[in-house]
Amino acid sequence: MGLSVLTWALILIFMGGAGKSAMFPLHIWLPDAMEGPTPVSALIHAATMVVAGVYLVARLFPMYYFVEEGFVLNIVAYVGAFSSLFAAIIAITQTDIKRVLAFSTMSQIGYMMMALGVSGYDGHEGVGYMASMFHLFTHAMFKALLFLGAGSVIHAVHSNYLKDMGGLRKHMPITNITFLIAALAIAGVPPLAGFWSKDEILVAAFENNQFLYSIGILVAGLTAFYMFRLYFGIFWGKETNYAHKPKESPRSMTIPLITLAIFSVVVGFIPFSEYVTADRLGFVAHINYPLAATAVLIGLLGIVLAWIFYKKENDLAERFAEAFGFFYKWASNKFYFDELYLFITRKLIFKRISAPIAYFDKKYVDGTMEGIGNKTVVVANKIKGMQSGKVQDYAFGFISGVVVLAIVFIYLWTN
Amino acid sequence: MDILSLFVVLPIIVIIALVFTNNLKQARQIAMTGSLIQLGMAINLLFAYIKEESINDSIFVFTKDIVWFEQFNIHYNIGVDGISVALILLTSIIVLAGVFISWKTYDLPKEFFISLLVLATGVYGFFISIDLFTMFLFYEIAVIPMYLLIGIWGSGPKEYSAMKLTLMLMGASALLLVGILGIYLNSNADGGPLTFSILEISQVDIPFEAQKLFFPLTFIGFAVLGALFPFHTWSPDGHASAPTAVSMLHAGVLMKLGGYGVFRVAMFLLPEGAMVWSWFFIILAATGVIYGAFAAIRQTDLKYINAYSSVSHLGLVLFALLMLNKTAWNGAILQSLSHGFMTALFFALIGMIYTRTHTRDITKLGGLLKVIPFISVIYVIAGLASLGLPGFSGFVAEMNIFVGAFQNEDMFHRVLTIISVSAIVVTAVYILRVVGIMLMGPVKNESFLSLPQATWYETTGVLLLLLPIVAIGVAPLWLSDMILKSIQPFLQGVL
Amino acid sequence: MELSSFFLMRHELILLAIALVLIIAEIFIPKQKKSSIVHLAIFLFGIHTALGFFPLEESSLFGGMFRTNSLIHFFKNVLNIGVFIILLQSADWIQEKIVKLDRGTEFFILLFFSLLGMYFMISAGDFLMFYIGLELSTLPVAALAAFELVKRSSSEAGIKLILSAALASGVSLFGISLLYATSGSIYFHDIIEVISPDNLTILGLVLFFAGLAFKISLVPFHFWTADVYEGAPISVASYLSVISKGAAVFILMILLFTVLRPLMEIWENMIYGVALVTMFVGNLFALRQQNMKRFLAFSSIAQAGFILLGLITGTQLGTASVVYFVLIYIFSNLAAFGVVQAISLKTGKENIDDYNGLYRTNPKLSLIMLLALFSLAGIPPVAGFFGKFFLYTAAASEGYYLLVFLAVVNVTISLYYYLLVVRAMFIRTNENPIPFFNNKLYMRLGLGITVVGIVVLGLYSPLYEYIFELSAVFNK
Repeated sequence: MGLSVLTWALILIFMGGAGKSAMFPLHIWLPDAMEGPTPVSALIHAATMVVAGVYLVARLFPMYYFVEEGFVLNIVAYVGAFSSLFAAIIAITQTDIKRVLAFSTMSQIGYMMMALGVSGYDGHEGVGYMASMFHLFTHAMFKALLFLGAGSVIHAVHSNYLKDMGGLRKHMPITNITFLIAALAIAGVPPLAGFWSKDEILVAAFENNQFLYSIGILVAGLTAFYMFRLYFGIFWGKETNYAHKPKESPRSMTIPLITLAIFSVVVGFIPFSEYVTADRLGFVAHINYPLAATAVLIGLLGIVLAWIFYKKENDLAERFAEAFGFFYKWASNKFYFDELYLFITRKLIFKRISAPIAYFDKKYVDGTMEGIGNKTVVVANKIKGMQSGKVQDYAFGFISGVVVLAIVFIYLWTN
Repeated sequence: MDILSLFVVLPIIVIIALVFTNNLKQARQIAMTGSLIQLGMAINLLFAYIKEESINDSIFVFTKDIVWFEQFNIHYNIGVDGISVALILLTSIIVLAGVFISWKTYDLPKEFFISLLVLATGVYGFFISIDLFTMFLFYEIAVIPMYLLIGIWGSGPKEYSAMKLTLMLMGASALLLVGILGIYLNSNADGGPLTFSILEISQVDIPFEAQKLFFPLTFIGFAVLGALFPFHTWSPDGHASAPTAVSMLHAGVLMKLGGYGVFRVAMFLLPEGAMVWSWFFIILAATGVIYGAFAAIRQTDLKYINAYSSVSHLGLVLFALLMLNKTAWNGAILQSLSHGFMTALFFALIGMIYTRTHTRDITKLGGLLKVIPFISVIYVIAGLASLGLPGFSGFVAEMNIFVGAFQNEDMFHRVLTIISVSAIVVTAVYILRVVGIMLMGPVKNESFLSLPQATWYETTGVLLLLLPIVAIGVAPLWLSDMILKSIQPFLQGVL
Repeated sequence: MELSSFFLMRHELILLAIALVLIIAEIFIPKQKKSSIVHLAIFLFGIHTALGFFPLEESSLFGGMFRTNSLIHFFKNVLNIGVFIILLQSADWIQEKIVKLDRGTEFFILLFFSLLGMYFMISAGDFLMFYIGLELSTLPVAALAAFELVKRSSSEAGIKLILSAALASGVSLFGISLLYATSGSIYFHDIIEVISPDNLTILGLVLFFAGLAFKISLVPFHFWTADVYEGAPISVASYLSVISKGAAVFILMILLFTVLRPLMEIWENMIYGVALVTMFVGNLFALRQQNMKRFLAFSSIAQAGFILLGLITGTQLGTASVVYFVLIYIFSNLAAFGVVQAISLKTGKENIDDYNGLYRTNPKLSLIMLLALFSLAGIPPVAGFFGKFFLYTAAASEGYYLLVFLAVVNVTISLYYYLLVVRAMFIRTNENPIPFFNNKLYMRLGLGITVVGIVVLGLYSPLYEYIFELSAVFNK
């Protein structure tokens, strides 16, 4: 298809990384994998394992950049951006708090991919690369914090669903504060960690591809919105009738929360660009104030909207959902991707490929082998009559044999 | 007695000793002792080989050549290279594990262990032979005890399966026999005497027409034992009916004879034939790889799943052998070893599950992880190894195979390689499907709640098999170095 | 002609002497001690067998009518061993059933005369001697087949055999006369000079071949086989299946490779066709048999088809392989028949289903049967494998790859029915199995020798080398 083998190789490697990092359309495993216990989700899925795909692309970045003038990087960028937006939209509609976080993860990783995709190589050109790694780093802190916070909440109310929560800020002060910090961080509010890395990503996108930048901005707003939808939904709003009165989690759970909260605040100040860059030389990053301001404003807008929608009991959210009815339904069903996959596996692979193969194997392949054996027996049965037990028949057979041989060899052979 | 002949002689001595036993206890102890000594010998052979190989440049070492039938130039000619040493080690481990797994064979125990050891004798003999006649002889010795082993100690439609297996394999040896005779009768093409010796024939330029004619015969003859599509159907039924240890030996060792024979005889002696025919058999092998994997998805009987998985994995061995390059061949041999251990481990575990729950239907099982954690965890590990997780032997093998296969630069090879690679995904599906249904989830049957844990002999057997899987996975280099060195002379014939 | 040259007929003379001694003994041994005649016969024949191994020089007598050489000599020894085993295996049967009827001696005398006929047949130097030998070997067997007068099937077997044999030998004689008509001589060494493939000669060849094919039971001249084997006493059936067949194969081979060699183009094609038909028909019929004797009858037909693989070659390799295979076949088939004999004698059971669960009651007998069947099927490491492999090699070395392939396909089919018996003995169980019993000394000896033969003959390679050297005499 006109692409070199190396290009194909890079595309395929990116596809591998995309699978691992839950990029669209290979993302469906991620929300389901959140069924695991919260610390496992926090550690493996949110903070470390899923970013392996990003890391893979980053590690091979020089190849991506130099082969075919970064053709594959474009793919990376668009896939990343699209995944990011796609996941953010879904996240708004989810009611399971862990699923919201899961889609949020997907969205943030899309961000990182996008950053890699728009990055250059030398010096400040490589800001995208740096930003991607930086975001990977900061994201680990607040996402882990979010997951552990969610775990703490779930531990208290014995449910994963937003409808079972509300008003928990009085009962769980530490969880509340730390969760808030994390939410602010991911929404990109300065001076928390997320602000710094997200800002760099947007800078990189802005400098390279305005369209992707606009998506980035949009996602930033959406992120702030759904994150605070979550936050207000859990800790504010109407208090549900709890079967057991929720109380703050034990110290074994709160200490990690606090630790991570501190990190979420401070790690943004690390001068990342001096250590991790595409060309390994390091540069000094500056804040691009107009861009940063836009991002922060968009973030705040999202938060405010969430505040309006969800802080107090009201039916705004429902009305919006109704207004966007069709679209909302699609989004809350994750755009039916699970169903598509199930269709492919269950209906197509299991029913249309595997089952026929298994049948074919039994019926035809095996049947042929069996058939050879059975035919032998059938023939054996058919010729049984030759042995009649009568001597005159035997004599007839004998003489026929002689005659046939004689005819064959005298008349047919010699002539 | 030289170091190699002992491998054939010792099982015979053990068999004779077994004849004089009266009960299960004695029989299994003797069988265990014998297999233990054999394992010791195999390890000793490994070290001896490594030492010898550094000072000896011949293709085969520890050779011994005794004229047997002078008229036909049939020799008792034995010798090993790195490949056979590795496979002998595989065999000895699986035999020992098999003896442990069969610890409680109450029905005709002595006969069981005798048959098992006859099979082992055939396998050892096959691996040490470098003379076509003795190779063929040991090949058949290895196959025929299967009939009794499945027929007497099997389950389900055992008579049918045993007969089917035996007849299909013996039917295959009809092709093989003609192939071997064809090679033999053309071995004087350079004016020398007719010979069965692999080494001597490899020096001869067998006429192209003969190679073209006899390669497919030889290849299919061996490959049927390696479950080549569409000649694999003996394998699922055979496995399903066979008792545990027999399935282990069968899938773990016996089916390896196929790939080994293809490599040693068909490819080595008829390289031009291989060139001509490889496209055809590559298609069959690749079909087998993907076909076996898909067929495995639909099965509900654990043994059938594993049998089809073997079709898929061993298809990969043949596939790699046909790729005609060093890396792929290395992968093929590694895959043989790896699959040997893995599948034996699987069958051992399936046997253990079956003796406890009396069913192999995964839809009737569930939540075993809670009930019999040790067995379940090992099952998961075996599954992960089987789907090629790094750190286990399967990964090393498959990696080599696909890297090697992809080195062929034409479209045909690459497309088929890609198709075969996709089988890995399907493998993951059927493995995880079993894990999900059988090991996770709720316990479906209350009587399963009181299942006994693994006994010491089961644990020993299982760990014996698990150890090499991890060992090869973690430290594959010493092994693949040994194999690569042994592949070298074979490669020269092909290139 | 010197008296000493009669020693060239040592086998014949000693056997004749033994027969005469038995006739005399029959007169002098009192009635209640008749069973001792069995011991006497076995003892004398044992000595005869042993004496046979003394070397004999190559020569001919009576102006070339009778000839002997190292291979013929060897083959007579092979036949002796076979007969000796049969005697051992049938000793119990004679003592328990036949001596009571006061017909024990007759059995031996008839058997020995038949064997004498075979000696003359394979030593024949002309067609007359050959024909006399053929007749002498056949007629007593017909009497033997009808030996169990109390059984109707036995009489039937005798009648069927004599009628079929009469037809066969008539056809054969006609063939011989045609050959005589075209060549002007009945002496082999004369015929070989003048024979050429004209129509009349070919007809003669076909007719002559049919006569021997009858004895070897090649398809379509085989019809008598199953009925006769089933009806006749087991000893007679085993005699027919190995000794009679072996001798006929041997003389056919000699004649084809020497006298009829100028017609090789004709007979190799004839044998090709007959071999295929024989293997397939024999095997397909054997598939469906329930009676062990009929089963072995068809199995022995199929085996005859395999032997033709060696005959088709016309080479020294072929000769050696055929002789070697026949030797192994004698041991294998006699082992199988021996077990059938032992069981039939104790329980009267002869069906495959009766053998269900035999291993659990009579493990030794089952194992002997197992070895015998594996040897017949050609499974290593027992002798049959080697015998078959060398036959294949001989045929393939003449380019008959397809024939070899089809033969091996037939081995697969045959393996099926051999395994049916194995299945009955080892896998199946039985509510009232054949109970455990001990065999008497002779039977044990008879079975023991066959087992040793089956195990050793293949692995011990010098034997084959020896046969190969001997085989040179007919392939100069």
